[in-house]
Amino acid sequence: MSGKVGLLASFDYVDSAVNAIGELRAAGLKKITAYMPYPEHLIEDALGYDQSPVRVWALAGGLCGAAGGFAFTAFTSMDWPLVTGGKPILSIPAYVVIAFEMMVLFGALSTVIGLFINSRLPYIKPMVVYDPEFSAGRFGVYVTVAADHVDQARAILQGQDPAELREDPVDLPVAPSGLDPGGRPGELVAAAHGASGFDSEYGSGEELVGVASGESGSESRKENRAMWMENLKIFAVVIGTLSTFTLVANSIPQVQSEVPVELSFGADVSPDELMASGEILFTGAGGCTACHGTGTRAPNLLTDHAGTGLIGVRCENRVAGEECKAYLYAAMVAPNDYIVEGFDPIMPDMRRSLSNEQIWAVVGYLESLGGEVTVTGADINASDDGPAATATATGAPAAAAPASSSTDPVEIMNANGCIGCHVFEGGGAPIGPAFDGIGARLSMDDLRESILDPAAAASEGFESMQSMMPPIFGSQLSAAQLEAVVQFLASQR
Amino acid sequence: MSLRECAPLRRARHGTRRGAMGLKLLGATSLGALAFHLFPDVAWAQEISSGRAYGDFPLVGGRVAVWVAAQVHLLFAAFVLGVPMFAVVAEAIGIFGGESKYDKLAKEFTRLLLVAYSATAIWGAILSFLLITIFPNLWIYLAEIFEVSMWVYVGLFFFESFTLYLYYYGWDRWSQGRAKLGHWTLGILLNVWGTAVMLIANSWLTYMMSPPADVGPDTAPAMVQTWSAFANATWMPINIHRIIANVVFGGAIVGAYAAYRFLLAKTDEERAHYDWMGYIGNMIAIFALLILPFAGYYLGREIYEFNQQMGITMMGGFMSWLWIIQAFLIGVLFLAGNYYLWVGMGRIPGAERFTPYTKYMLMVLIVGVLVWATPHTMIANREEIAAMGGTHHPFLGVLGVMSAKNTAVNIMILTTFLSFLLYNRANKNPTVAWAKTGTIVQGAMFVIAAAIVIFYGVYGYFVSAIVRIGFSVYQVGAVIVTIITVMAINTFMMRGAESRGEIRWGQMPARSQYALFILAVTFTWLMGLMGFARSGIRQHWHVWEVVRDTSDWAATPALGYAAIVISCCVLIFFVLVAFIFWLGGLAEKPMVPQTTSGKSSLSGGPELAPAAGD
Repeated sequence: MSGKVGLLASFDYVDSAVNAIGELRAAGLKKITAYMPYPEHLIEDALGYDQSPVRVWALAGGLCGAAGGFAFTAFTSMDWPLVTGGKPILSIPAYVVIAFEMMVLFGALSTVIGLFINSRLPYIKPMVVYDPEFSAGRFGVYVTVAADHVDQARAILQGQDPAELREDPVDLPVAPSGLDPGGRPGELVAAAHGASGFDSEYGSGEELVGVASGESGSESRKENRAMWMENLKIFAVVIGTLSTFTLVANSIPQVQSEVPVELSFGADVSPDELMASGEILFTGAGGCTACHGTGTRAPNLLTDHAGTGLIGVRCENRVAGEECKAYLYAAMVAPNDYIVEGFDPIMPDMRRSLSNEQIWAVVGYLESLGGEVTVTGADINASDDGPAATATATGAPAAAAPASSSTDPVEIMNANGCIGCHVFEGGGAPIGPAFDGIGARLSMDDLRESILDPAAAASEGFESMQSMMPPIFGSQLSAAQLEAVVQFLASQR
Repeated sequence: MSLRECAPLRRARHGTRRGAMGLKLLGATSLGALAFHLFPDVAWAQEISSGRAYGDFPLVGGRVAVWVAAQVHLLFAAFVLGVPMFAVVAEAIGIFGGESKYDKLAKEFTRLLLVAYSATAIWGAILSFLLITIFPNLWIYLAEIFEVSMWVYVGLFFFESFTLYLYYYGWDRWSQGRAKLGHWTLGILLNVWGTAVMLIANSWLTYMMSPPADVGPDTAPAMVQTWSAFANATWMPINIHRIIANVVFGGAIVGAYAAYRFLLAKTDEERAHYDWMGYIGNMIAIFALLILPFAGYYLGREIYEFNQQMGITMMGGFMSWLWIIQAFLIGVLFLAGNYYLWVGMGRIPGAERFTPYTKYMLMVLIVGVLVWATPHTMIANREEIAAMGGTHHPFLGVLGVMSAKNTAVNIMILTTFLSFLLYNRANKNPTVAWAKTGTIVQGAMFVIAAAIVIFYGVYGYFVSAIVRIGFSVYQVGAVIVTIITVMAINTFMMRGAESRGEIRWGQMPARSQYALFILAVTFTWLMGLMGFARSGIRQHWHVWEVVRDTSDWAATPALGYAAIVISCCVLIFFVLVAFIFWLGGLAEKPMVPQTTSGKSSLSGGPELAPAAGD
């Protein structure tokens, strides 16, 4: 014997059953199963039920269905983009229909699933202490109590004037009067088809609403379920917000940056080749349209500017005596010399980001806008000042921008950062040998070798720093500049 | 034992000696072979080279792996840097204001911080290893320039960690008198270490954006001046922007935490406490948000100053649409923040008289969001320009310029401040003699500020761009002066004010808490978006115009792709945060409810007894 006793009371009136349940719960006897011939909200309230969670299943299913509908249509459109009538690839209005249908479908399915789960169907275990009278119009209250609370429970039930009151220990294999023990305590069970054939105005009461009530284990289960439902809502809010932002970001024109493609032209490069490459650079990786596409920050190069015609036409007249391609090239490598009136000097030196070939390709493209492409391979080779800003496979710093043509040795040393490592006349850093007195230490040939091939020999005491001297000055300086520097250093005694 | 008997032993010993020699030889040879394989350079004095420019990461690729690691690390870092700032302020209110509930609140903030700190460090380590393995050459380049700062950076972690542990675990021990002041000083020190850590890390990423002008593609790393690389053009603007943004983000996450605890609260006292905590978190976030746009504008101006091409690419080039998305998100923030305040007024006695105004404020906010979200510069080819009849849309182009957007955002800031003011005054009747005059002055300041903002917004259409940019200073100035002055007047006016009733903390509908979640998610997503913006304007450069990106991922992706990655980062962050907060709650004892104290509604939430072992 488990020491627990079951009491089953049958009531003719719903009020009696409700009052009995209320008093039992108030007395702390919460292991209650209620029976009713039809769904009765008063009894649900008495047992302390919350709102049905099935509505959340419907919402979740609907949202998932709608999201799935949009996702399905959007991703298939993006995968197989077909321009139809000039409409955007992602035509949201058309997708609403499919999303709506999916919302209804998934919402309905999840509602049914939620209903089954929350009703704990299929109901495999036999119902506890079922009496066919409960489908004939009677209301049943079955309470399981510890042995020392039997009297209290009995008194409460008798106080509501039941039609019948029976005691039924829970561990009997077969309950008296055809009642079956077992089943889950604290369940609200509306009677199935009764043998009596009672037809209430509410129908036969086929539905089953199985929700635990009252007893401490049921309370904690209820609390757990409430907690997880809350977690689900919060998760839905988070996912919904993220989905909204992602959808909005994917709904606007998608533009990605371009990486300049390396160009290599032969001596016989054709105008068409230059135009095509130049247009790609101008509208993409060159970033030219950010300023030259609007006409507000810089002259519009795509259309007429201030009545002066297209760029291919007006470039001939910009600088007297300078042909179009020369002007356009100079405007890209020394832009501050050619600022158009009314605009600010914000154009960067394009040699920092484009190679020589790329610059000439853009020149060719611009010439083609209203004019004739006159750029040739000879122009490209003639202006090639050395290693351009090309991409390198190792990701190492790209090559230098071309130096100036000055032959002033101090100006050359300042421009090429020599004083950054060599002390000279009180300035500079003592990373390499000082220039002060260097003429007494090294011959002109040694000086020349140190500049052109620094790895050949190291000055005493600076062996560890030898690798820091860049070997680029042979290509960066002209012969005249190199000699000027060598002569100057040789004179430092 | 006879020799004969020993013979086998002797043979064995002899054999053993030989065997021993052999074993030694074998051992030496094996060790040598092992050394050769493990340390080929030592064995053969060969030169080590990495042999590859870029590594890779399975499934998502190297760029996305580093992106996610960096973003999630940054989200956690923003949290652990932002929370100590207002924890210290809350503790100060507890000490100097005598309100113990603020001290408890500060401790609760710090508990969240403690559990998130490890996650920050873990993601930082993940980021470091991914960078080293996927971008080895870039790592070597940056490490050569910033090596000293990297050593200082890791050293500061020791100080920060120990300070944090002392700060949290010493909370109850040093809770009185001078010891409490010392404890509070630890909190200040925690902020110092955290800010220093952030400043160092900011220098690395801002160097990549804006290297000194004298650093070129041929400049060897050893020749780069460390301080000029450290304090580059965008370093300080990013510092300011991130300090403020950390406070905003920290407040939002705290608000979301409080919302979660509110929704799962079992008692009225618990609900009241977390309702109050959510209000505090939201207030911190919204107030700091009001000044964040100015910091962002400063950053944008410095980017333009550094390199016009970069600035124009950011605002008018392929990334210009990003700011439309940002406008949409900030619109959500303003709407959700104000909605929370308006719903909150439902629990304040006396707030009913302000309820009719909320619809007008809502209209103003919606119009502001629409104007702010209007695009201006659209990248158009010649055919599209011909179709539009110009380079800009005939209608939208008018609303898309900064003149209109500055006007819209300043009006939205004023409206949000007005919401807060009405919330603050809802259950109070001022008793000072000059109350009516003060209220009229406050109202006049709002009207004048709005008039200034709108005047310069309209006037900006008739002047050149360089002049128009300067007008933003007047607009911003008018708003800031109004906020400060109105708050000052309010503070004096509400002294000794009669209360219309206590705020009914805890009596908030659940939908208000979902607004806090939306705020937190939106702030987080916005941080991800801004990270993409800051990093993406470098385009195909690791270091702008110095170190070119030659990887397969050199192209900056489009916004849609970026949005998917950002959403994944946000989801990872919130899942981890939820887990971390759950971990933190494992050690938490349930709160022992007490009756609400008779404090005025000025002070906020109810009193709660300290829980043992909290």
